[in-house]
Amino acid sequence: MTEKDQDKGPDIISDQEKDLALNALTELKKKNYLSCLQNINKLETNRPNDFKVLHNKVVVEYFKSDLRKTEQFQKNLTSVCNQFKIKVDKLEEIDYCIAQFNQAVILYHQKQYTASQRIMDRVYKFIEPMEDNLAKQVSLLAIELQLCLKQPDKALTLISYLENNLIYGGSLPLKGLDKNGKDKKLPLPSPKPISEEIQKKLLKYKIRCYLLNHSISIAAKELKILLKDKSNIDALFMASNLEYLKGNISESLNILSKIPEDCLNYNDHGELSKIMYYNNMGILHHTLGKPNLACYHFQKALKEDIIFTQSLQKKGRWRDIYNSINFLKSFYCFSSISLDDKHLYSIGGSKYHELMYNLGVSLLYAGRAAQAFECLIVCVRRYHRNSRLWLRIAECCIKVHKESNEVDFDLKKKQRELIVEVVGSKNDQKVVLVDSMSKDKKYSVDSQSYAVPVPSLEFASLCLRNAKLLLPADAADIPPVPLFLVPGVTPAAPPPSPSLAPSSPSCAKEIQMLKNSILVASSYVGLCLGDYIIALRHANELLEQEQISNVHKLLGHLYSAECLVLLDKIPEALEHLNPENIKDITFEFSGLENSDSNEVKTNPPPKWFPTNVASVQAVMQYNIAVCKTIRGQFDQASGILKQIWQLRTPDCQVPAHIIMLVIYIELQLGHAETARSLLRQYAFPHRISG
Amino acid sequence: MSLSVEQCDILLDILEKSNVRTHTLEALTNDIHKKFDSADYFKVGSCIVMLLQYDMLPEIDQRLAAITLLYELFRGEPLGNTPFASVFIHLLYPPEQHSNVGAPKLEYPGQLPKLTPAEKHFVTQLISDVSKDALLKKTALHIISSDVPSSPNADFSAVRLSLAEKQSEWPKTCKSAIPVILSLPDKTANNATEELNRNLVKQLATGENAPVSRVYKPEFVTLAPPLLNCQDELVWLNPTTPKEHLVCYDTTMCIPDIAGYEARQLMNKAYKAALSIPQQQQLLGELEKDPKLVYHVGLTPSKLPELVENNPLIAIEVLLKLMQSKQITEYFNVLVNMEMSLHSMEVVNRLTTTVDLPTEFVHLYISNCISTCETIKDRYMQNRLVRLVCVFLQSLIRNKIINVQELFIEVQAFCIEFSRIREAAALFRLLKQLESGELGLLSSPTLENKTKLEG
Repeated sequence: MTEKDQDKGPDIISDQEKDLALNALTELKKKNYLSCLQNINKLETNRPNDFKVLHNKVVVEYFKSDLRKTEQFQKNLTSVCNQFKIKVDKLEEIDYCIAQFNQAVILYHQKQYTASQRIMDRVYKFIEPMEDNLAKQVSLLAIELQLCLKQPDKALTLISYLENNLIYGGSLPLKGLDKNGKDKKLPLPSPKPISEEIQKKLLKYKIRCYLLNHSISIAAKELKILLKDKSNIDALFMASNLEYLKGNISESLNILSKIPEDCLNYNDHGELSKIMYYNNMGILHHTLGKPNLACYHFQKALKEDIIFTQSLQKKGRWRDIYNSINFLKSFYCFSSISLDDKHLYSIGGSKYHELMYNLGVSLLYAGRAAQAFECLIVCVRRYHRNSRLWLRIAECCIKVHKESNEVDFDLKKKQRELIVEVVGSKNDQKVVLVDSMSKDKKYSVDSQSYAVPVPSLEFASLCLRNAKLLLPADAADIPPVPLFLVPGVTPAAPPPSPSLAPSSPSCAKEIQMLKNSILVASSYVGLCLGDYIIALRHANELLEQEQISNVHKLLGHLYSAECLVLLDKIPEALEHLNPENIKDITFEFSGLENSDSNEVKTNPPPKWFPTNVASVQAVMQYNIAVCKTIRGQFDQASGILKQIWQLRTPDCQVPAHIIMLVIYIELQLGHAETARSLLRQYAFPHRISG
Repeated sequence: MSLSVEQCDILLDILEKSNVRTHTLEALTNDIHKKFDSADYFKVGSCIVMLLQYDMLPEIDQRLAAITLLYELFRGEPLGNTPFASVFIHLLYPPEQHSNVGAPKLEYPGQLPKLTPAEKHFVTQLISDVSKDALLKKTALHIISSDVPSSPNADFSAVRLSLAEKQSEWPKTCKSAIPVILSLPDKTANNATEELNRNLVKQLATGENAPVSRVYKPEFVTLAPPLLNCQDELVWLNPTTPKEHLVCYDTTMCIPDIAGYEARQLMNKAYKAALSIPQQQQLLGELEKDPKLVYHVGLTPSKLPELVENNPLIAIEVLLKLMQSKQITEYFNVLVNMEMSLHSMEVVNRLTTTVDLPTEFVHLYISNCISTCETIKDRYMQNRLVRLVCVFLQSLIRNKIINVQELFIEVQAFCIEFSRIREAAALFRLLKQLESGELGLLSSPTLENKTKLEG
């Protein structure tokens, strides 16, 4: 801010200059960019130091390039800003807002939402004195950014501000500020009618917010208004989304399939309806518990996305190998190349990361954990503050390590594994017994760093640590941003804002479930890696949670017990194995009746083995037998084992480890012959047959 | 943790029947020390223990030689410190001795062979604290065939006790392990082989992760957790109309801001010097006419201190008009941190009586006032400022703008420090009256005071 700036007055602008400016504006409205530019060029010779002239010149040049020379525009804009020493964090002059806003627009299209948001925070402070049209554009971008950052509540505040501003011209006094006027009803200024177009636009933003924050009933009410127009594509997509959230999957499918496939394309709209269609189809199938079909749709969407991005690459050498995940990965590397020659509004058209996220989760559900890992690892580079994404990656690692618990109950297979090797023959014949029936434990001996992104338990332990740190805290836990800065004290860096982006924000209950899942996975991974002190800590933290599903409670007790045995605290372990601890294996929080009309029902059917309480009880009993065995109470242990074995039915599956434990007990009791005959009975026939 | 095939061959060569028959125990011992590195002794020992456990040495003198080698591997160290100490104790005191079960023959995992009295006597001598030179000068066969003196067994209770103590410290899981090798003779064959089965030994005792170094422990079933099953995780795509957000052209280019010009000129003067009464009235009048004008007069937070110092009345009006602005906190921030003066206090005082200021702001301002009073050097200025602050605080308290309880200690300390000044003493009296409840200002709870100051 110099003295010169302050002294600039109306007298300096000549009539001729005013005319040139007016002409430029008229030509611009007619989209005659060339003649508009000529006018501005003339102005520039007269007023070489006028910021607005220089700024507009850059803007019109950009329009002239059909909004394609984005890089050039950014460069020019920055150089104008530098010339006038405009810094975004010291923005104090309203006249410079527009240049900053334009920077933010570009950043928005480049998907640099946080950077864009940082600029908009400053620019938005000048919203009151801003010229009406610019104020509207600034508001709309601010709203869209909040939606991109998955902050629907903030977006809603901005929407209502814009609405008031449009209706009452911004002169509506804010409540509670004026002490004397508090009790009086302030006369509202006469409302101005808003055009139908902007009304619809705002409504659409509102519905998007409601869909994001799961205000289902309000969303339904507002959506009815938009749906009066049957050809409103946006409304149809949102209607399908709403039905999906309500759990009416077939209705959602119905609406979705009615939308014309090619109604939106990149050149005209900057986004492609085909991708949305395939993606949403995938989601619906995922919810129906058909992850393989979901993957198929996500891959189709990805293919469209790649074709689009590729079509804009003049030297695109990529062709047919769409279904290979590796290809997708390599695609990631080149998706950030020069942005030139694309329309500004289609720069951000690719939904690559969102699609990869969806595909990754579906692949995980489909049991293709290694492929899922590849997809999610790509996502996490962009969404590295997403706690749930880190958990998903850890889940991939766990699934690669142990696909399902069914293996623990597969008696036939495990019988075959009792004897690893037969050595010698005749009287010398020796057998080598299995040293561990389950393959869960994998004490790491490699010197390889844990941080190598491969689907290993070691990497999972790091992912889970991130997931736990990034858990979105309850609103109450976040320290309020200090209103005033103390001079000489640099304010503490704002707390990291973890979010579930690209997914919608979640409610407290969902966050609690996420937390429990992180704890249970951390405990399992710790146990498998031999970190049983850490595993015990996580299991205990899990059991301390006020809200916890019965299946997690069961696992918490099982893991605690195992850790305690390894810590040589068998009596404490036995307390955890009390069968009273487990009543059922439901996934929902117990004791919570939910009758909220806004409840979202989009989860795929849960899948976990064992599927019934009886099998779970068998596992618990078996683990009790292990404790007793380790303590040397062989008689009690074998009594329990017999009981489990007798309760065995096709429904109640029992852990296949039983046979080996029985053999162990017989051996320890000195009944070697009994053990041998058991081995001959269970293990030998299989070895001979194959 | 196991021998290589070559090492295993060397060991078996030493223990070969013909070799044992022809060499004294001392020679065998020397051989083993020569051919193996001390780092491998444990592996050698493990292999020997396996040979003993599974009775793989056909001849009794081979067995004795093996036991001797096992002991001599760690020659010179106290028995209790060697890894195989428990083997010798087991050889001397086999578990059957403890148990009184008689009927069926019990066979424990990893059980060691039952020694003959001659062997037992030899082992006793071997591990007791006596010179063994004479003993080892014999061959194994010689020892076995010699008479057993009826001397009482030496006392190893100290060693046994220390071993038992050591083992009691181990977790039970560690002690629960058994070897994975089990003899399972083929019932169809009946004649026993007499030769040392070298292949068998090599298969069991050599290579990476050899069976000899593996154990089975009772193991838990560890169920893997289910996948997180949550709501609305996958990203639904709705149209977002990116085309709506395009760059903007500045339509105000070369359009003079006539309305604001006069006001702006006056403001520029107001930063530098006090305006005359007519000038003030003109400026305030224009600001009154157009509620948006205040944004266009060129005021920025950084210019606020100058305005406050030169024209506090204008500053108050302007700030009141900016109350709804998104920038107001920045103005407050400047105000609270600017140098304390009569004018700034006047501005804050007026603001507090007109609008609800954030409590944080008022408190911070008071703290700043107090600390300025305390640090100022000029005695005259200090007195002046303290009096001002006292009057200011009294006004805040009497108007119930601040809740004294929250600042009580700070304000009281201030009063005591400057008790020489009349106004400070008066403020102190006011505080005391408040404390005793005389004025009834403290009756309402803190929370309510915060939100509803006017009561």
